[in-house]
Amino acid sequence: MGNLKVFSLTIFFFVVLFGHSMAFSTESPILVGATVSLDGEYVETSAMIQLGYKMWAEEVNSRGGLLGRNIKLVFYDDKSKPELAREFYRKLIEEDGVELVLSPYGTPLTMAASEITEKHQKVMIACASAAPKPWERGYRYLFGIYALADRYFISFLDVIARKGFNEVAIVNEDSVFNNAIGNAAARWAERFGVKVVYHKRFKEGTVELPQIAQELKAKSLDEIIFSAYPPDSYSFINELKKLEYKPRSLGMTIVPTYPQFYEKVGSYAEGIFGISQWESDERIPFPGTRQFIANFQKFTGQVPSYHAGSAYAECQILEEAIRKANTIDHDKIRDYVSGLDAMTVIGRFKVDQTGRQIGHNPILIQWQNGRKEIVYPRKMKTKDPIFGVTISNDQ
Amino acid sequence: MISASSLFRDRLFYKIILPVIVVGLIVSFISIKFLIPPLVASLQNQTDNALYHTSDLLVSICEERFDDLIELRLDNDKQMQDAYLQEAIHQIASLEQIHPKIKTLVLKNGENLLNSSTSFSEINRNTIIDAIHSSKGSIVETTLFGEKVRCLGQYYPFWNLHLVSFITEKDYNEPALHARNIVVFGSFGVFSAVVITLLLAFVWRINIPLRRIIAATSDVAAGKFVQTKISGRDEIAQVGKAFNQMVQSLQDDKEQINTILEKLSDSEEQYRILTENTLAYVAVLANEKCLFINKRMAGALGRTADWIKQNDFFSLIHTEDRQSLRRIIAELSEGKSVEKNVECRFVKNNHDVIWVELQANRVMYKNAQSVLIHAMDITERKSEQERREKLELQLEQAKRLEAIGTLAGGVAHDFNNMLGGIMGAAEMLALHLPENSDTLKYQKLIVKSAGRAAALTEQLLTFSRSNPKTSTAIDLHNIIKETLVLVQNTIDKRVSLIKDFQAKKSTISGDPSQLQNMFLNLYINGAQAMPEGGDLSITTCLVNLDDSYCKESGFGLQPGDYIEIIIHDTGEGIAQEHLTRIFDPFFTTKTQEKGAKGTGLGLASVYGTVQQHNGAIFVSSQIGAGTTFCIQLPLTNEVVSDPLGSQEIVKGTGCILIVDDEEIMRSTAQEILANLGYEILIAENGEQALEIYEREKDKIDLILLDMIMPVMNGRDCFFELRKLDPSIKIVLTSGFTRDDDLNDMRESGLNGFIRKPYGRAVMSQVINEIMAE
Repeated sequence: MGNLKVFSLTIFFFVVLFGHSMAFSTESPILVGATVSLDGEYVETSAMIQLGYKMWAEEVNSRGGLLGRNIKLVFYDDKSKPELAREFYRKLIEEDGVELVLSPYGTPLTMAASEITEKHQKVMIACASAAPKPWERGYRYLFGIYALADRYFISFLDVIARKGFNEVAIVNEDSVFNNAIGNAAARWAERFGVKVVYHKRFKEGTVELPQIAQELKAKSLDEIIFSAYPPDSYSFINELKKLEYKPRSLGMTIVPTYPQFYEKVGSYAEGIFGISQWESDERIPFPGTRQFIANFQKFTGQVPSYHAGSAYAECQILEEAIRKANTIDHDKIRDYVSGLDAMTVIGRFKVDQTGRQIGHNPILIQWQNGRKEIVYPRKMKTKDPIFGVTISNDQ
Repeated sequence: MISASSLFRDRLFYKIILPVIVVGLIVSFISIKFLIPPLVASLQNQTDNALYHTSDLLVSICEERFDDLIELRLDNDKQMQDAYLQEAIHQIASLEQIHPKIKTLVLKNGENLLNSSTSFSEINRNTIIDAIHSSKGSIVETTLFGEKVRCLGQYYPFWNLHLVSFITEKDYNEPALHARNIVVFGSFGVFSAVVITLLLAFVWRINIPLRRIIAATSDVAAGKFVQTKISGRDEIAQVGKAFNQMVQSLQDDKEQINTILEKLSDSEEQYRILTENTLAYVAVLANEKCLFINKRMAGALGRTADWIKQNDFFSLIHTEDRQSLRRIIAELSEGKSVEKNVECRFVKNNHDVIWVELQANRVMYKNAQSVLIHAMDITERKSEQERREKLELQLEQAKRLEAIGTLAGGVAHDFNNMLGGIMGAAEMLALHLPENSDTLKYQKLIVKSAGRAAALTEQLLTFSRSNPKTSTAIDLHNIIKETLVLVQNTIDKRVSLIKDFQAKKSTISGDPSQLQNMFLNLYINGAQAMPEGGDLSITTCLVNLDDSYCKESGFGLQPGDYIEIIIHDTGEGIAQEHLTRIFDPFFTTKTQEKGAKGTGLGLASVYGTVQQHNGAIFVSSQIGAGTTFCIQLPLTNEVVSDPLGSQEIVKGTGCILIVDDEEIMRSTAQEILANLGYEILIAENGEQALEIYEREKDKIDLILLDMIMPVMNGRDCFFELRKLDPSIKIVLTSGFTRDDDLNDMRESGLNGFIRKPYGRAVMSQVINEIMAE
């Protein structure tokens, strides 16, 4: 009963919020459905994705709609839980009759939602899933935007190897996405001639991370790769701060890309590397990037993260496919997306036969002087990487 | 020879260029000294940068290939990895084209992938790798292939590559050496180019325009207002423009000045002409000193203007006029009015006197109260006036004497004829009286008295020039000497006779007896004027009288050479009022003043003698200083003959026709000639003479013809007789005959002349002489 109430309120909220778009369309709007995580561990990232979706819908409707019809978004709160995502996507397709679906945030939710969309042969372009598993299921209507997890730490390892650092420690959450990252990092470390001297997977961050941090310090490991979702990432940093331990090179997933990362961790953020699919930086040379950043800031009052950019890119690809197909025929959309090799606001989009992204590569950022700087790849870097930033007094 | 220092002082060019050269050299040396090190460092830094750049390129090439592998998801494809590596090696090999001096090594497992023939020993490989690691991304110096190199290496872990870039020390330093040479030679080259450019620019833009301006300045200094050529707008051109404006201004000014000067010159010239060339004498006086005197006046006074200004001006004024003129100047200076025109005299430096008519006015001269003297030379006018007065006096005297002479001549002629009759009758009486008759003493008394009377009439006739003279060439000096001898014993012994014959010639044509009488009269007069004794000098000299003198003389002189006889006594002198009448007949002061006897005919006869000899006589006298007679007589070229004939009676034969209207003269002549042996025919006038001659011409040998006759005078009768017989011998007799008539007849063949009253001796000699021809 409680769940139903929440559902009803959510529907009401979104209908009211975007009802004005319908008033200007002569035809019935295109219902586009998705779940967002208004609760749980994906709240922060999912919010950015939701804003990206909304800005796109606004832009399409202001341009006269898609195929002459306005876009109407339908969101449900999945609370960062795969089962709710699975249920809401079913509902969206079967009950709400949405004609198009957008992806939720994260690999677990994407895997859950894609089970429904694949079943209903609805094209889903996953904007926030980097683990390889979703594309190992033989799905035909699922496509990825993110570079996959196995590519995440290539750049970091290349950087430390060329610096002559020949040892690295890997710590990752024991989850699909983070295991993929950790394992891939270990493989790439070997290829770069860097020895993995420590590799630890944890399930309960709050319990295990203090111990792990102490071990790392005890071993005086200077190059560390840490992969987890934001809560555990912040916890890890807190543990290191407690130990007043600052590795020479610390590479992390997700949280360093957040604009508010520096505010949350303070000057300890200096020198921390982060793996990012994209950066809200005007120096990024992709077509439309600068305009997107400006529009997003104008639309939301916030700086877009790569999650928002990825969400917007998802919408760009979907709109382009519909316009080219001139129909909301998901088979035609699927065929078009399968063969697409294009540049989006976050970079290249190209998928293989499994729908896995093979055109996009992650970038390596590093906090320097309170600002995110791109240090890898070479063509996009805004600063050279620095190593061995010590802990300052305010930390 | 211009010294270097003077060249530097005198030439702007060197003043500018030499400091430029010195400063340029210093700057060049400083530039070389301080420019080369940073330049070398810069070049070496550039080379290092190139080394860094090359090293980065090596990495970039690998990165690019690696990126491709990653992007294309070929990173797990071993073959593709190798292929991309080879492609990267190939691309790295081509980098040498970019930096030929920079060499590269790509080491993989101890082998140089760029050159397979080069393999490194373990030691070498470790050396390189150690160098790479020790460099920590910086350039290190090490030894490769036995040569010192600067080396930079990077490790590329994906392919396990050691990427080495290096450059030998020699190549590394070569740009610096080049740069050093370029800087050194470039500095001096640039410096030389700058100096040459500066030289040319200076010469072209400054020196030449300045020279033009200097030349134009010289032209201006020489008075030629030539403007200089101007080009451009720079400072020199502005100077040139200003100069041209100045020249134009000067030219305008000069033209204005010239105009003013011309006006001034005209004014000055007018003033100078007026003051210097004016006929007037101009002087400015102040405080009896001459401040200004015009040339004409100074020249007229025979002084220089400076002399006159430095001396007392009034010393130039005649003493008789000095006081009055001083008074006039003083009164003028005091502002009083004075008489307008004053005649006064200036004295020249040779003591000659200049008569002027003077005006004086007050003027301001050089800011001082002065007196302007304006005087006109009236000397000539004064002389002319005196001469005219003298001439008028002479003419008046001449006219008076002429009138007196005419009167006296007529009386003397008649009286002479009567004396002729008395003397002839008395002589004839003696022929008829016995030799011892007592009556003879009366007869002799008659003859003697008649002779004295004849002498008196002789003087009268001489004065009136009616007494025909015997004209013969005589030496006047002889006459003077003879008369001096005659008078020497008769005058007062206290009178000294001084003779001074300066004349080189003294031959004149004249009558010796008349001339003797003339000098005797003058000597006696002079001696009588010196009762207490004194000097009586006789001086002769030659003068040439021109036409104007002759015309102004009043004596009818003919221009030519004259002998001038000056007879001067140091006697009492003659009063001026007597002087004008001194030649009047019967005028004498001797009776009245001295009680001496005088006929009053002496000087009258002197006057007549001079006139008869075509001469002139002047007298000047000053009371107390003596009297001077000046006689001028024309010289002749004739030869002097014996002046005095003998008293021998010469008898002859032949027939003589006597023509005379005076019966007594006819009888006298008839008696004398018949007594001499001649046959006589008688005619009473000219016409009768012609009738007789026509009738008796074969018989008549000679005609004795009187001059003054009624019916037909002697002259007309003479020419008629000549018509009848040009060869007939005619002798003229007359006591009063005009010289012109006598000369005409002489020219027409008159054979002889006998002056009345004549004696037997003269008559016999003349007749006999002519009959003998």
